Amino acid sequence: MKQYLIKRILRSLVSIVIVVAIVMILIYSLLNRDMIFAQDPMYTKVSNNQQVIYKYRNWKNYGYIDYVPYTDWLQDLCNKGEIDEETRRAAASFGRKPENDSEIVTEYIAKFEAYCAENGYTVQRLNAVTNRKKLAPGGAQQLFAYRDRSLLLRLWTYFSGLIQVDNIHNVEDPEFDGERKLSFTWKDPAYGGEKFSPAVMGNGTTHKYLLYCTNKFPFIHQNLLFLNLGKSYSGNNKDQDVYEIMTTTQGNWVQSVITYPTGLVENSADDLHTAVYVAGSLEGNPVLQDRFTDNYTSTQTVKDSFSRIGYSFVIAIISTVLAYLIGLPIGLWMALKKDKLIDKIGTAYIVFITAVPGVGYILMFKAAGAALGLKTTFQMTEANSNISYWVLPIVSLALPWVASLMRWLRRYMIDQMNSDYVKFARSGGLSENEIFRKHIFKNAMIPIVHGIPGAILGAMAGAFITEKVYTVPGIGGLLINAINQYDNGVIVGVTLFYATISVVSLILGDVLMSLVDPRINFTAKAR
Amino acid sequence: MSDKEELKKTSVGEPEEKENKKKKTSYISAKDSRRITKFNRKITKKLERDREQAGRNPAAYTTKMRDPNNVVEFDNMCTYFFSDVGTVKAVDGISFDVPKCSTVGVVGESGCGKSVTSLSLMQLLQRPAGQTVGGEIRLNMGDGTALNIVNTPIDKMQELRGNYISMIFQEPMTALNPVFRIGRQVNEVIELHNPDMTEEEVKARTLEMLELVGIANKEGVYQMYPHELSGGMRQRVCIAIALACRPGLIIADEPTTALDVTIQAQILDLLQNLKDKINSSIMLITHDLGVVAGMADYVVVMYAGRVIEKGTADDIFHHPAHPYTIGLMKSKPVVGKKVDELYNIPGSVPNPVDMPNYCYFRDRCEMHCEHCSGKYPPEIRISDTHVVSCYRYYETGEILGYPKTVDVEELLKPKNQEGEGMNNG
Repeated sequence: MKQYLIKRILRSLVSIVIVVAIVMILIYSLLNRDMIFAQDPMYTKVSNNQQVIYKYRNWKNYGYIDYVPYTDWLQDLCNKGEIDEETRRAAASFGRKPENDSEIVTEYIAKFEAYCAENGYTVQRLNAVTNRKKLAPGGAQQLFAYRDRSLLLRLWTYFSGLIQVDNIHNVEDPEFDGERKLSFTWKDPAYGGEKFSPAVMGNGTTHKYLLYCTNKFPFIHQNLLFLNLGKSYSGNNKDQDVYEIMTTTQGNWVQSVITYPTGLVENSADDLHTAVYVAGSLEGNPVLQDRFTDNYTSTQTVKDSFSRIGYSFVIAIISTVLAYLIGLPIGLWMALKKDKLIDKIGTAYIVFITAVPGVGYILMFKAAGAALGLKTTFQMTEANSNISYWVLPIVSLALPWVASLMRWLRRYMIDQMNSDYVKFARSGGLSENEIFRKHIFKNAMIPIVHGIPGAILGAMAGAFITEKVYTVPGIGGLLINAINQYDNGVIVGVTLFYATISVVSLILGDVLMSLVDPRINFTAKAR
Repeated sequence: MSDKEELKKTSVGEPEEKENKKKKTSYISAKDSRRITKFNRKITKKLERDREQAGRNPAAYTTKMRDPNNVVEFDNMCTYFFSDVGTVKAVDGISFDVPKCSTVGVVGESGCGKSVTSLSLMQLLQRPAGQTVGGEIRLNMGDGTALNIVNTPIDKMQELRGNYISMIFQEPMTALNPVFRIGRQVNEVIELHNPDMTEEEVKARTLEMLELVGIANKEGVYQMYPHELSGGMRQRVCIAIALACRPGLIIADEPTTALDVTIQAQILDLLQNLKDKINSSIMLITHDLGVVAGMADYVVVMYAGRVIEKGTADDIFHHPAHPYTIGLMKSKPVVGKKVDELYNIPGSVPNPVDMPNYCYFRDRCEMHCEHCSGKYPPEIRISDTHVVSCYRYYETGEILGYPKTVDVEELLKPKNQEGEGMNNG
């Protein structure tokens, strides 16, 4: 069993990597790279050579290419001590056109080109764009080199940086002067330092708080391990971490009394436990200086609603539970009363759900719900206290699911009804009811059980159509938005997330099935 | 098109007529199909209602045995299937007895109604399509009374199944529920029929039964799942379950067909021994003449839903009287005798939807005479134990009576007539 599971998990990891690789090929190699700037406001603000540089710089940031400007290369040489500051300055001032270059510039450009050729870079020189002998805006001459990153390298950097462990060497600030260490305290300073609340804090780590307690589920929280799924390129969440986009709370700020490290007590929505190091943020910022004593200044805020994942999960998990609670008994009943009225009504319902496209019946439910006075457009803040907002999304998700459960359970039950062991049980004197409840049900549930982990984990994936129709701020729309906005970082991150969910739920489903069905045994060799 | 058709007609000639005849039976027009469906719905509804009514009144299903030494008596039992192609008379007026502490072998080719007979006895037919429409099956309750299985309500039937009659099926591989442990499955039946037993007693009984059927590692098997056992072991477990409540009659429906020959012998041996141990009878359904010869005290030969010959094993095997039985015996390979080709009975069984009104075997019979084109032959006693349905003994034997068939159209008609029929039967 263990051996099988380990093998299985390894294989699953490989398949996840393959999925991510395929997505990466699609979006990094096959898609036009310029598209990621399509909705970038900054891109339109810069012009001429500046725009080109902007593009290359962003491509570098997003991992498309390696990009080396000529001046940076010179600076590097200077840092290494191969050339002195004077030469660097002389060599850096290359002309508007190659003809205008001084001797030393020509020499160093030749060296740069040689270096680039050696390392597989492509050198590009942009002549200055002039307007009546004056430089046009953003038209300064540019010289740089770039090379494409290979898929394997990209995959490696992505997956090796996926799970990050916070450690005391994480902060790469040359001006960091404090002692790098971890400290443990019984009394969390975020609560004013008087309440009993153990916490592990770090100095030199990315997060200030590594382990801490709150009164919210699951009570003990950690910042030690975090996922780095990539960054958003464009759209509303530009430059935000994908994991953060999925998991940070949404809605209105919730203010509470906060004691800042300086001792300032204030009504604020800041969550001090999320403080992250930002180099040089304290310097020259009086607002922060009033509150913080060190550079751990970037905090998230406490908001009153769920995160994207939270909304999707809550809605989907309730609807899944509802679906199983309703669908299984009805399916059982239909099988028991095969060809009777209840079976026919149920079949009609199944046919309806199967035949009408998803959007169709969800819109129908929406119209019907509106007629009943239910809220059809989800409002985050109001939904916290008004159950009426939740009913339609949950029902719309549950009803089709009910239909499929009914259909499959009925089918499996009827399959089993004609099997020999049922005849044998009957010949032993068992009543139909007992045979149904004990013998057939357990057998018919084997394939159904396989889907349960998928249903629960799949809940996190959100529901595209339902969330769109009812404007639920869930995770469902994330991928679609990302694709529309060429937000490639989000696409890769969300794909990885979905792939992981489906692979894990398949494994769990198989394990669960082996618990129900004694014939499935992971240890036995194939016969 | 028409030219071609004509050409076909002219060129084919005689076989064309045959084809037409075939068409008549296998092809049903939409109109006919609707009529049949409507009729089936009507009649099954009526039969189910009648059965329900009879089930409510214990007087309607308690009778007396003709001979108290019999465990089960079939008396002109008719089981029909109301299918979409018409009424299939799977079993049509069969009569035979199963005496106490004996083995009765029921033989016949596939589709002759052997299994339907046993399923009728257990009331395990696929209802509402399959119905026992006439006759009686009397089950000896041991206290001087008897139950007419045909009218027994289902809840009473559930008390009988496993307790008075139990059944062993052909496929031991699939007869046990794959997701429950052996112990649990045996316990279940014992608990069901002995509600007063404590858990330990039930377990003790289960282990005793497992030991009885020759399972050495009874504690181990108790904890095992069916898939961990071999076919023979599974059949032993099935036998243990069937015998757990010491029933008066065990129906063994081809118990050894799915097993290899050595295991076959073991299982048959076991059945025979256990039968004597718990004083019950076996109704052995098989098409393996060798098995019947080795096991049975009495043999019933069925053909196309009717009993054509019955008697002791000696009667059937050494003095077969019906041409069909004679043919069967001839077609057996004999050890030490060299033949080029084994004998076979020519022709095939008539269509069960559309049975002829003369002897069903006439068209295949090598010994038929002019009598045979008349009514279906009556049962004729040719010795104390030997009864055969064949006109060849019409003059010499004692005529016992014609098998009673049921006209399904009649069933729908007036109600008093049916009441009469029930009293008669």
